[in-house]
Amino acid sequence: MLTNVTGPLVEDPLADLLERCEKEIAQGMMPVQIFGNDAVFEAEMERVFARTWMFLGHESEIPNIGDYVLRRIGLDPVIVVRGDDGKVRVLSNYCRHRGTELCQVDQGNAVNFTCPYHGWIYKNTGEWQSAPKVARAYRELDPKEWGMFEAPHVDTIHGLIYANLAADAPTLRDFLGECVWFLDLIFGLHPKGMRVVGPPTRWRMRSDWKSGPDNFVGDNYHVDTTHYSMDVIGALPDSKKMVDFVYQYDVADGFSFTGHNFAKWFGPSWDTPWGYPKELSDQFDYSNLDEGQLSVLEKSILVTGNMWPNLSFIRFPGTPDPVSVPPATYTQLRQFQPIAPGLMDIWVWQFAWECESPEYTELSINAGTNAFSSSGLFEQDDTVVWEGFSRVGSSLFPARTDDMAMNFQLGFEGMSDNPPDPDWKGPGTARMTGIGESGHRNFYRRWISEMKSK
Amino acid sequence: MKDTKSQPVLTTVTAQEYVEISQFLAREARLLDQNLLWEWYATLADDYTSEVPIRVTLARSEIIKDSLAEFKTGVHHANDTKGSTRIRIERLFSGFAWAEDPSSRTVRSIGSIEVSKSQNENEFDVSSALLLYRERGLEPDHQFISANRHDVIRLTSDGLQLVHRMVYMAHTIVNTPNLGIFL
Repeated sequence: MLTNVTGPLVEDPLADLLERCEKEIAQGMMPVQIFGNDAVFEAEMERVFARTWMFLGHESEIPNIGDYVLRRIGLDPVIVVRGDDGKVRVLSNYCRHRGTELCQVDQGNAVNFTCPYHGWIYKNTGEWQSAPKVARAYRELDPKEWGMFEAPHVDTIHGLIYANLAADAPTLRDFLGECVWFLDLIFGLHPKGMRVVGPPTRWRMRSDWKSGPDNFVGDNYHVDTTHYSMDVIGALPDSKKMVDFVYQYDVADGFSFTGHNFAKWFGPSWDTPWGYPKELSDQFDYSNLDEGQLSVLEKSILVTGNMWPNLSFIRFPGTPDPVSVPPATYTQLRQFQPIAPGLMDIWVWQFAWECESPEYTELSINAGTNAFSSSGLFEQDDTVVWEGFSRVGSSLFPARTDDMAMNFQLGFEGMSDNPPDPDWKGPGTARMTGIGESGHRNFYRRWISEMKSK
Repeated sequence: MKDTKSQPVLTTVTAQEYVEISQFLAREARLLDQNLLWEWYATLADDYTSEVPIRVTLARSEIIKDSLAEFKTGVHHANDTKGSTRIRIERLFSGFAWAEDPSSRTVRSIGSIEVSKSQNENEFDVSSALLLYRERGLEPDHQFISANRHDVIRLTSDGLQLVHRMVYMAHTIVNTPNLGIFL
């Protein structure tokens, strides 16, 4: 469809599309052609996924020497492994000899990775170790030259493992910038932190990978329509009023969070952070928090967010059955994995505080599964409404009218009630209602900027 | 988890019990396919629970130790009680459950039914295979969801009831946009 953006004589239709994006986002629009499009998808793999810090998992998933999990950077399978030296590395899963996939399973423990084709053997640190008949077959081979491809940068924050394939990458903390302030609030309230419970859930959706971040950046406006069934059954009280209990935190391009004021929304008994039971929240240490972070806990606590490019956060209370099961607050990170234009996998990691009781973990995981998962009562409906993103991107209408755009004008001054909080003490901007799409515009500005830098 | 069932020389259940339980599973599949969800709900025992655990791919050496090692029972695609199942059905009939409105067009095929007497009186351990064909909305294409199910079915004065269902899916990455349907 890109060939029709400005006519057949344009040499680089993608560059032209990105120019159009840049002009339109300032007016609260984005061309529909950026979704479900082959040329855009191909460029995204290089310009977004191969050169940013990608979340790959959590240290608690690979606690022991030799533990590994198979993960993805864009379309690339990578092994995230704790080597014999205790260091976590991110290794390409392709054998250096013929490209055969070394690891054919999702997780395990290994001293070596042995290729099933010709038997090249690598240590769990990625070093080339040996091969069959090595003394006769590879007398001159330099093991230093033929180790598994290794991500040049691997780092962690609050146990979250990230890697970056770009040689000249900024540090992880520089990449995250003031988002660290939010991550400290989410994961840093107890010195023992959080762990991942079980492997990530995975399922396949017919949509562009950007449709997930587009929602988790702070799409509060969809809640009382998409999820109205939850109001009808009593699981989401007063959903029509929700936008007035919302804060929208825009940290920097590509990083946005949404907060809700539970006490105002659900009633004064919801006065602990995230509605955690007192036994749990009494163990938290607030002494390191600054004035802004404390105001987030009091005024509008973080419930969703998206960290560039495709890592979304949710922490929310729920119960699968209010009659017989007490509510519990779940924490999830989900990653929208690009598979092909118009196709993505959703991966969900579920978290538990190290200091919480096993009973609370079970309640919390079940509450999360019931609300946000392949069977989740909220998420089921998201999976259907997001399918349009990629379909409209290949529609005949935009192919014939160059200017077909999606509308991101919600929250524009004069258009909507979405004022910034003049007293905000944290990084970026805080807006005082959920009637806005500033987080979306943040996300697409970052997307345009990354896609334009060749 | 190990398969503790020994291979019977002659089956431990009567032909009538096998037929009744097969009929129960077939009727259940038909009720779900026809969206007669409250009629299906009526076949659940009050202490009904069901689980759809997550599956990962593991090396065969792990499966030799435990044939069900790939299923991680602490984390689920779905984990329900009779109460949460009632809420799921209420939601589906709320008029706003977009994932299943319009409802999927499904055909559940149940086969490989194996029945044995449970240690609990009046209960049967039943394993079966499910092949679920699903079309959604205006989609011209379809998805298959395939699973082995381990059920506990109880004989009561009201007839047979489903007490527990463990759904062992073939999939590690579930190839359908949502599990808005019952397996």
